Amino acid sequence: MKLDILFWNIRNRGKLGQIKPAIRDLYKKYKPKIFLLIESDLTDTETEALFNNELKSITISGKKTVRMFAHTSLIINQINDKDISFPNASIQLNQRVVTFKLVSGKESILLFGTHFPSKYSYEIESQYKIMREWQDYIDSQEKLQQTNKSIFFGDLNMNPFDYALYQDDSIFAHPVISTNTTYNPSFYNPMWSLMGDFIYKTNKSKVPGSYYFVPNRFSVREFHWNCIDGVLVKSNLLPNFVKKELEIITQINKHKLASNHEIFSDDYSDHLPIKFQLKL
Amino acid sequence: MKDIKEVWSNFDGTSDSEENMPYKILQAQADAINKNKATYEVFATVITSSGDNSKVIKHILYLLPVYGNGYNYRYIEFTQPVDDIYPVSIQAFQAGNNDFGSVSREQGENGIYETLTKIFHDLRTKVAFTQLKSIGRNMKDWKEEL
Repeated sequence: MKLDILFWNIRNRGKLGQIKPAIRDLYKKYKPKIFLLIESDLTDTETEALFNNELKSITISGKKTVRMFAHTSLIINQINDKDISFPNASIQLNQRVVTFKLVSGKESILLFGTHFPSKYSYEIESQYKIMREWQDYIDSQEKLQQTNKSIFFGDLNMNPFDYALYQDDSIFAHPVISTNTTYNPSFYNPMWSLMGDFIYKTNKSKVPGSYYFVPNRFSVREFHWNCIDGVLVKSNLLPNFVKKELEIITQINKHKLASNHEIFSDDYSDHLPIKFQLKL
Repeated sequence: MKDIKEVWSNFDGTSDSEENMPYKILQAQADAINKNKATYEVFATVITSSGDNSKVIKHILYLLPVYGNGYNYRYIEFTQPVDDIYPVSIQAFQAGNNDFGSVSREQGENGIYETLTKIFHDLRTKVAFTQLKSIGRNMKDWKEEL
């Protein structure tokens, strides 16, 4: 089975009202079985209509700004609701991840959809500390569900090189997984390959990231182009991940979301949608 | 060349402490819940994790509806130093902001039992069991509809 998954942070919601037709066309074009919508203020009913009612909301809490929609043919359910409660963490922080179990044959796959706390509110060091707690949460859920096949995806609010993503005492997501190395990363992070403005070998132009931002001119920690939306694949699920299907989407029919130089956030969102595929 | 000596002091893999380890106390509560699994339609399991740093170890009692397809509720959490029994800090009801304090060596096992009793008699325990049973039944119905 080919399982197409798509996600999009629609924070700006398109000041010119283009976002709803764009979501409808995005669904029609790619027909994903799972759609994660982040920072959406559309109701579940409105959103389901955009998906032609073929995808249904499977997020229990109505308050979450991370909402998962899935095709009715899938055996998938949320396994943790507001419960991603960490000691002394704010409610806002606890609402930034949703956890689902997808059953495929005899296997269970855990899907962690996230809107990770951003650098606007948390320093890089704080993101690192938060991620260490989340990593512990992921481990606990894997033990409970007796699987070590997990996918962590959504608005990660971190570039692949941020140490909350990269370091071995955090989520430990690397651009390559090899059995010959002396270290064994927990997650594969394919987003490394989507940075830069051309496709290696073909020389075809591409958008350099999923999020564009004009930094404070005195900042040394901010970048114009960022690859902060992403998917991390647990290393033993890597054979199921179809690399060539990973894509940052810049155009949906007549909807042009970005050029190679900027993202048209006034029309749509300051983030670009991303799609990926698992072969199960 | 001199022989290399083995100075490893063998032990049987368990602590010689007379005290019950927090994990065992928590596991005993899970076992007690599981004896009534059919009535509650909820079961318990204890997971141990390293927490977010290498200095502590966490034991977490999760509750899961029998028919919940993995849905889980983080009910009680013990955190202790990795190389000591005390202090044991105890949180409950999804942890966040539900701190039940810390049990010192002086308070010992009795301190742990007292805190657990408070948690078990907290109204939220009854509500959580009822809600989980309901979630399980809803999921069972949903599966049967598929």
